[in-house]
Parts: sequence; C-alpha cells; structure tokens
Amino acid sequence: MTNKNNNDKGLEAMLYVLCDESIDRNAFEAKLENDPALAEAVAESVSIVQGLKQAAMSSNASMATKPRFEDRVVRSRQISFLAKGLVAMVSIAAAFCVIFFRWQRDTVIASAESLPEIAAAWIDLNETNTDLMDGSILRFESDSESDTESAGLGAEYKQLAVADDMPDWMLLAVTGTDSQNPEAIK
Amino acid sequence: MSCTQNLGFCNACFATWKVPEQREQEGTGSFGMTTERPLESSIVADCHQKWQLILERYAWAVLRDWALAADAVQNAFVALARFGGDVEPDARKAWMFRVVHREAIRMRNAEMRRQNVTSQLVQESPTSYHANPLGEIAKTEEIEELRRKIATLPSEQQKIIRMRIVEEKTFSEIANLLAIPIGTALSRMRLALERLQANRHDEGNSHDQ
Repeated sequence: MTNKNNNDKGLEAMLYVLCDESIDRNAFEAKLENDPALAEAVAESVSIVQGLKQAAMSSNASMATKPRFEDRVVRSRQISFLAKGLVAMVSIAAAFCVIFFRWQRDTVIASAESLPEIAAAWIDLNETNTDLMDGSILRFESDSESDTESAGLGAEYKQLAVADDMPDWMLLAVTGTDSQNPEAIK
Repeated sequence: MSCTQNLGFCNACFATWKVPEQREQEGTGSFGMTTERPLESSIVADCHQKWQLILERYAWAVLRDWALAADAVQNAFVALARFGGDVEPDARKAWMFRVVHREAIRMRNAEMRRQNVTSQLVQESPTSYHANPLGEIAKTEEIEELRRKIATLPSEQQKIIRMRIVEEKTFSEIANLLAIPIGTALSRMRLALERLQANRHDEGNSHDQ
C-alpha cells in the first residue's frame, strides 16, 4: 500500500514538474507544504527531467559535431593525397640516398687512382732501407772475396723483399685486381 | 523549548513564519521568528553539503527560475542557522523542505506582484528547460548514470519516457501515436519512474551510509 502510494507520488510529482495539464498545481502545492516525502519526490523528478534533457541535448550536440558524409569524403581524399605525397617524398629521398652513395663510392675509387704513386713511394722507401741493409752487409762482408756476387744477390733479394713486404691493400689498390704479382706493380 | 511533534518541529515554529510585509510591519527580523535558536555552523555546513542540490531542484519546481531557487534555498539555510537549534536532527530535512517551500511560494508571489501578471505565467513554456543552466545542476556523471538506468528499462517504458520528457508530448498525444489507452501510457510512465526512483533511493541510502 505504502509502495503504491510512493509510486503515485512519484507520478504526481513528475506530472507537476512537467506542468502536465492533468494536475491541479494549486492543490498539489498545498499538499507539498505538508508532505516532505512528496516534496522530495518533486526534487527527484526535477533531477530526472533535467538529466534526460541534458542527455538529449548532449547527444544532439555530439550528432552535430559528427562530420557529415561529404566532409568525411573530402577528409578521406585529403588523407589519401597526403599519403601519396608522403610516399613520393620517401621515394625521392631514397633516390637521393642511392645517388649520394654511388657518388661517394666513385669518389673513393677516384681517390684510389692516386694509390700507385703511394705504392711507388713505398717501393722507394723499401729500396732505401734495403740499400742501407746492403751497406751493412757489404761492410760486414768487405773482407770476403765474392763482393760482386753478393751485390747481385742483394738486388735479387731486394726485389723479393719489396714483393713480400707489399701489403695486400696496396697491391689491390695499385692493380685494381686480386693479383698479388709483384711484376704487375712494376 | 524542544520541537518534538511528528515532523520534529512544533507548529509554533511555523506559526511565526511570516511573509515579508508582516515582518517589516512587526519588525521581527528577516524570517519573522522572534527568538533565535542558532544551530552549530558545522551542522549547518553539513546539511548544506547534503541537501543544497535537492532543495534547489525542489525550489526550481515551484519557481521555474534557478536564480530565485538558489535564493530561496540560501534563505532557508540562513533560517536553519538562526532558528534550527531546536529542530530534531531527524526532522531537519523535512523542516528544510517546508521552509524552502514557503520561501519559494513567497518569492513567486512577490515576483508575480512585481510583474503584475497572473499565476498562469508561472507555467513556463517547455522550451525554457533549454535556457536553464543545466550544466551546474545535473552533473555529467549523474546524466551518464541516468542514461544507463534508462537503458535497462523495457523498451515500451523507454519510449514513453522519451516521448513525454524529451519530446514533450502530452499523454493523449502519446496514446494516439502508440495506439494505446491513455491509462496504459500513464501506467508505463509510473512503472518507469518507480524503477528509476528505486535505483536512486538505493544509491542515496548507500551514499548516506
């Protein structure tokens, strides 16, 4: 019974808040003064009405802020254009990178053309060292009888020493091949 | 003197509640009560925190104006601070509703006299709901909660709620549109409100605890 009364109060309160034509406002307000439970039901009805109104307004607002179909089409076109532009930029950058690395390699190769001169300087240096070494040998073997033979052997050793001491990188740089033939250097 | 009547306050308390004209003539202060019985400010602050929103909503239902509703509630809390000392703690809420009601009626009458209009104008047009500062009253979480609860209602009750409250159709229009008796439309509305208010009561009780 009390529950039914509460439900009726809830409905009455809601009708009062909604200004429904079926409710006698003056009579209801007279009841309100002496019935705090009814007054509380009115306050609750106000909160429900305001909440629903605001929920409806916010959903309408969110619908309004949603992009229209035409806008979405334009936006998707813009996005695809941007993506294509990005791909083109990346391709151009990659092409530049390839060109740059090729150019750098050519520069290295070009600079490698001066290596024979370095190789020649290396040989000269080794010859100088060998001469010094030969001098000491000659001094050591000065009292020997076979000076001319020693000189011939020294020249032969000198050539072999040059060929043996030549680093691989220099051979490769000078010859431009994998050949390690000392004759090619000559 | 302690107010121990059924609502926690004696009739004498409200018998001394007078309209402003009487207050001015008698020089009995702003609330027409002759003897101040102050209530502790901490209790008043606690009551304000708990009831301010619900009282403003109630006052709005009478006044249809949020600024006036806030004034009415403010006046009621001033009355509580000055004259609520003898009100039983369990009866304070009912006492406040009654004070707010009287203040709201008084303010509405004063406003009507000032504008020299009939009481018909109190019933503001439905569009005035949209002009209210809803953001301050209905909190976002509360709205989300309400939306969730409404989603749990049967579809026919949801439809009635939406048509009556959001679309502002009358019950006779709704009955015509849905091809149902008007009593059925009202019954569905009552059932929907019963469910919504039951949920709110449950939450209110758990919140109070």
